[in-house]
Amino acid sequence: MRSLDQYIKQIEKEISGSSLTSKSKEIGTVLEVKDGVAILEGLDNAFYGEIVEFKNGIKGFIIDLMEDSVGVVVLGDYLTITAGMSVTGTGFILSLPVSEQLLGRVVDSLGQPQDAGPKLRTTTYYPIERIAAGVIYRYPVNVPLQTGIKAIDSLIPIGRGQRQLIIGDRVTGKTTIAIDTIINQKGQNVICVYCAIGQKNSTVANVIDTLKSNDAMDYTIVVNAPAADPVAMQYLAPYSATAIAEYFLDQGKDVLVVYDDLTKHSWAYRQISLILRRPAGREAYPGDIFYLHSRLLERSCRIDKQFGGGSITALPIVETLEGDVSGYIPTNIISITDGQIFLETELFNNGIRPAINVGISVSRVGGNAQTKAMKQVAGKLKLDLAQYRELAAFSQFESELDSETKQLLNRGSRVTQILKQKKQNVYLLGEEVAVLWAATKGYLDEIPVAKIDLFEAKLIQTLRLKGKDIVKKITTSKLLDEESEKQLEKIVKNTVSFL
Amino acid sequence: MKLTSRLKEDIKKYILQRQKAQRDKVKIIAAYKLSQDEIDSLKKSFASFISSEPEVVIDPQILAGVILRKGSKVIDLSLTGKINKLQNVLHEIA
Repeated sequence: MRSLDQYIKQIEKEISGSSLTSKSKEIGTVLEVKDGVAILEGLDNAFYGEIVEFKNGIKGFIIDLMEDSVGVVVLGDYLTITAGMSVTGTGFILSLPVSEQLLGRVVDSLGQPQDAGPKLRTTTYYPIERIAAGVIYRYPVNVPLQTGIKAIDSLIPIGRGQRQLIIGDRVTGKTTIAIDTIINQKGQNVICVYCAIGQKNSTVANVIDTLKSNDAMDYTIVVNAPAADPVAMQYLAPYSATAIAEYFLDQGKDVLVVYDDLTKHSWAYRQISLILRRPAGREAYPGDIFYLHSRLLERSCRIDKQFGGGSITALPIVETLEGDVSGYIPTNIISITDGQIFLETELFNNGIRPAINVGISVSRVGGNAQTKAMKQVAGKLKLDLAQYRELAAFSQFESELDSETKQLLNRGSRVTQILKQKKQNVYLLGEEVAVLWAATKGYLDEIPVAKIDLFEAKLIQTLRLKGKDIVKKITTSKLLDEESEKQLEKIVKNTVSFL
Repeated sequence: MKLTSRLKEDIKKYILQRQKAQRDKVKIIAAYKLSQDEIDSLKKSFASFISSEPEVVIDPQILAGVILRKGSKVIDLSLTGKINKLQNVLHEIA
């Protein structure tokens, strides 16, 4: 036990030590305030990306450095900032607190909780902007990220570390695909980050509710920058979400990030750029609009095992206008990503949901990541669908068709039906394989198209009741061997006869 | 009067330079009038910071202590600064 004298000495030392610390700070004054942007003078030694603090506690970050002035994006209520107010440089680059406690939380672009939960206590900070991992650290994508959606897992497979764009008009189910994918990561050892940019708070609340009711919040973090937030927060949100993802990546974990959506993100950046009087280019977007998204999506990667492993899979969402994918932002992001899932209003209205146009949707790297079991059934499925699409267009006018064509059309329409899937109804790999196997083997050819969904529901029910072992076997071994096929045949035949 | 753009640039530069020189002057903000002794001891303690003859400004709002200013650099040794810092810490903990 230490004596009282020692304590007194220690306290004396502490007091005498702190009294003479003098640190010089950088200060500046506000010249003008525009929508969400303040122009300052002073801050002669400030650097790009530095956080500054206004006298009333509002923070901002430096985005423009000119000869005699500094442009600052205000992260908060800019209406309380007045000209002449003093501003202090903090010397910190824009960063946000990260920790395991983030799981299950809803935070804003700066990592501050937006839900009713406790304050985050951490000393670890990650920079919001970070240069992506170089080629040395990377490893090819070859582990699947199961979405639990038949159409995607079979035809447009996604691998861990891939960047797969989800693109389509409004209300075509873009968010639904992303949310279903998050729900399907339960027990897959994947951390999910859902980043809402410029969305309605009611929509985000719905998403959180859906995730909660499916027990998906346990491994999910929501980064929310709603439409009501300052435009700077919306601009930062995807970078913050990626920074959070990188925290888990650095621990060797697999992470899935959903950016919902990047169209609104580019609007936010356009607004900032225009207020800063940067030269405007096509559609008034600034010159570096391409870099805006390429530097963001480049941060998704799969890291080599010898450097710690882990991956960040990105599912950016882009909204198009009347199916026009040749717009400025959509084409940019299509060229950056490793493939895209096209959703169409027409398909959606015809009741084909998810409304994926499998003809023009591609996955450039996901094929290597597909499991063997899925490959076994997907190959035939693709062929069936391709032939069907080719014939379906002009066969509408022909009254008499030869039996082979009829057979192809017959099969195609059934395969299209079987790829339909209700939302929040994700399948295990084994279940997906079983259903698709039945379709490609021609067991559905005799069933009327209207009864296909009934067959599927019955089959899934049977598989979940009696066929647990076979589903488990396929899901874990990721193989479809002869013995499994025999068992499947029995179950499928049984189900067909039951209809 | 009409100016050529070149001349205008030069004048702007000159004014900016003069402003900068004005701003770069060392300023000591204190709560009360400082004696020469106190100014000298400050000069000794902050030899590298106070490079030119300082201008002393009195501002009772800082309560006690001094604030040194040179250009955009500030060394805050005032009581108000300390209180504000404490307030921030308390706010963060709560």
